[in-house]
Amino acid sequence: MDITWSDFYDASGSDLRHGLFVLALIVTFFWTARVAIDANFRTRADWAESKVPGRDLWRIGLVVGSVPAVVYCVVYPGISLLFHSIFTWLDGPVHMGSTVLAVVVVVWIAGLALSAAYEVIARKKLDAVGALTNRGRRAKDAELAYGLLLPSFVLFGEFVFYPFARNFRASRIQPGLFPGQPGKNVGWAQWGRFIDTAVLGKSIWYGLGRGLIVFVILFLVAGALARAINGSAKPVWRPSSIAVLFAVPFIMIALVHFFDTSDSDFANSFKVTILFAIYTVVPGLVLGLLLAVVANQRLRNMGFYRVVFSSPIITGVAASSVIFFTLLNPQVGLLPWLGLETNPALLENPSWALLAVSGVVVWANLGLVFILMSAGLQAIPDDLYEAARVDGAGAWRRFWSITVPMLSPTIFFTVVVGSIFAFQAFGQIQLLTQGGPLKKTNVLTFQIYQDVVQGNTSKAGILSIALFVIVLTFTVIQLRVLERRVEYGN
Amino acid sequence: MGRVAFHGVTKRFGDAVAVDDLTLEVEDQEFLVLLGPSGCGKTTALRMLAGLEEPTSGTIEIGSRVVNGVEPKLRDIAMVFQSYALYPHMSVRRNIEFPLKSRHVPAAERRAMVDEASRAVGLEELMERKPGQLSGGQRQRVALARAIVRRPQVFLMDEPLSNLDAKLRVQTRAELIELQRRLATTVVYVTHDQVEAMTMGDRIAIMNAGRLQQIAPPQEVYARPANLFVARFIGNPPMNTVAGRVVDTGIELPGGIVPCPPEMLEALRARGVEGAVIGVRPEHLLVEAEGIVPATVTVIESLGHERHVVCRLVDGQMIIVRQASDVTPPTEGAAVHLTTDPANLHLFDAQTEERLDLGLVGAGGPAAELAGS
Ligand SMILES: Nc1ncnc2c1ncn2[C@@H]1O[C@H](COP(=O)(O)OP(=O)(O)OP(=O)(O)O)[C@@H](O)[C@H]1O
Ligand SMILES: [Mg+2]
Repeated sequence: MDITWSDFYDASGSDLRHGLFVLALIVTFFWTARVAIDANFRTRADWAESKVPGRDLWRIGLVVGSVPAVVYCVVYPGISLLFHSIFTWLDGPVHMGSTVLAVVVVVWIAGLALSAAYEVIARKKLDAVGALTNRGRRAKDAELAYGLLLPSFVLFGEFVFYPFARNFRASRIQPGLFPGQPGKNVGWAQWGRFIDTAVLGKSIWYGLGRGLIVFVILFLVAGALARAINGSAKPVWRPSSIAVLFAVPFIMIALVHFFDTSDSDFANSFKVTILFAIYTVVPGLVLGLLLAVVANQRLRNMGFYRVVFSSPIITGVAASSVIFFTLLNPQVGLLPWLGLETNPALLENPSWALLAVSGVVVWANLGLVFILMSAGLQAIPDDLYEAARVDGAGAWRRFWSITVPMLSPTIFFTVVVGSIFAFQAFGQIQLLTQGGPLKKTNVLTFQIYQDVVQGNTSKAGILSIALFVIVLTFTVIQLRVLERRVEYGN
Repeated sequence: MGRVAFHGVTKRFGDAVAVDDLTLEVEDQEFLVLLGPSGCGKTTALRMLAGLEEPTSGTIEIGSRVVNGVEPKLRDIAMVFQSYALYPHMSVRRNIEFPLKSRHVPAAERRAMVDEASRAVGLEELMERKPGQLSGGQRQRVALARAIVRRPQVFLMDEPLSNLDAKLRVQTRAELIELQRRLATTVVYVTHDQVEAMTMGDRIAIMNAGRLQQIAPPQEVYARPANLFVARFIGNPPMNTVAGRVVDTGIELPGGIVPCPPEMLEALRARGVEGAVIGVRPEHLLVEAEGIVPATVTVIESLGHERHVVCRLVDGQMIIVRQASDVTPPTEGAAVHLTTDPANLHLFDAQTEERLDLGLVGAGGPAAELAGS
């Protein structure tokens, strides 16, 4: 079977997709070039004064973004693509998409080489006059840092980035009807089908949802163009803003669907996941905060209680699930012993199963939440409470007017981390309910797992990417909030 | 009204005694300064008054009410913390408003009171800023406005100026006094800066190692220090003190005997004083060619408006003489004699370190006839 580049890029598909891809590559190219230039030809003061937001994100983003991008977009298909497009060009009718793409890849590689050369030359020049700027020195340090990070990038690349990239490929292969039959590459059509049927259904929101996607894409492109033309000092492509905008349609569609009656696996899983996140995060937060406030009092034996309160953190997911599986067992468990029985048993009861699983997760996360909250509480200066006492505030007002606002960054952080945990929860579901009863605990990760087991890899691929986008959104929000936290100090 | 009293108040932290048997009264509308070196228990005393710390023993009164065990908010006091303790997440307005809100003052009234307090300290322009966006001096004023907004009987201030630069400190000092006069409230003010204490206090209470040393108006603390500690603590450069022995003809200092009249020696002997410490403030000493106490000039430090002549007695003890800059300076290394007007001499018991008031003549010194030096 001879490999054609359409295995990777769907040359037979529409040119719009290529356009988008090309755009992404061009952006990456400029991004790389700009970082390289910034690193060498701006003075340190320039750099500091320009107050480029997220300038470190650039570097991190560059590396993190480049590794999978290079692996997936260049190294893997690049060579065959080049040869293939050259042959196509020589042999038959010119295909616009592939030619453009080939050119872009060449330009991109050239750009990388150029900026690397740039850097070397600049360094030499500066070294020669003995005026290596701090910036240049830092760039040297950065080289070392990247070198040291390389092994972990390799590992990440192999086990995280590459599999992740494979999702895009998997999501475009229609699996065969029976095991062993080779899958068929149907391109992004699978995505269209997924969005049409699984996500949007045939509701009145259908048109709106699609319109929204188009709108956001246009918005991104237009914004980028406008800023590029204006020559704004702000970086055009902050990874975080891209992520947020990218996530918007997903979230909108998902929310739209959340209230929709049409019933698909995705809709159900999404709803269950959201509920699961709410059921675990909110009670966990309240309980953890309560315990932390209690433990923060200067009382006798508090050290002992602190250890007790934080102890769930050492219990693994599997262990805690098994413990609770036993405790909730209708024959030998704690509940019948207490005289509390439901029919069917708690974990098989459609109205209770999700709550029960959430309870287990709340317990398992409590140690972490407690420790986070305690650390947050200890960072609040005592004299604020003393001032408030003199100012006439009672315990309740002190809690709401000082503790909660001063703790808000920690609370945000806990909510974000807790939500990410909830979105990624798998072990608890697998051990306690296997997604049942009636799919009432069938969270996204478990749906993905079932799709894979059932051979429906393309759907699993799409769901994985959707899940990734959701989690990424939360992470970005978390970064933003933590950034804001810095403004607090004095 | 705003009277404050400590009666035999002691505070222990474990074994450490932070405040030891403190008894003092603050008059209504008085500006009392608690002064002392670091760690002497000033803050602890103030915190007990605020109700943030409970005394181990003794009683504290505010107004005419014993407030032991009374919540801070029921004591009708306001406090300015050394760190200011502004609420970092609230705007200036909300910071100042907080004590009123806590006490459920209606919104309209609250607004008027906040505006008045902020006007009093000149903060009108900054009401919507957060404390993090203010300079040290501005923060200090927010803390002040938050304290005065409620018109409490007593203000407690813990080194409120220590975070300001020297120039701002001088200015704020004057403003604080003006404010206190205008509001006619009692102020208990903690500081370790004697200039602040001397310029601001109606009276100064000097503490050391948890004990009250002396409580008196600034002039008296300076002119008649109650013991050696106060004598050496107040004044810059500090008072020169030289230990001497009471002999038949007077008090023997290194290098010479300061002659004393017989009735004075009588009085000293009657009290069983064998060793006495003579104290003279640097500005009261004269450097002359002839006299009783010989010394050598070692260093001359010129400060522009004045000059410090550092001398050593025959046994090497250091004595500092403060001279106006228009006096002809001695040469370094010169052998000289130190003299003073006997009225400026202070006499302390070497054993107890207490001031010796022999009930003889003279306002400042123990005896006008003392020593023709
Ligand atoms: N909470 C506490 N626990 C134990 N010891 C304490 C406590 N607070 C104060 N002390 C001790 O009591 C003594 C008096 O402290 P305090 O804070 O009143 O001193 P201060 O006069 O205000 O000093 P400074 O000028 O440095 O502020 C010190 O020796 C201090 O170590
Ligand atoms: Mg103090």
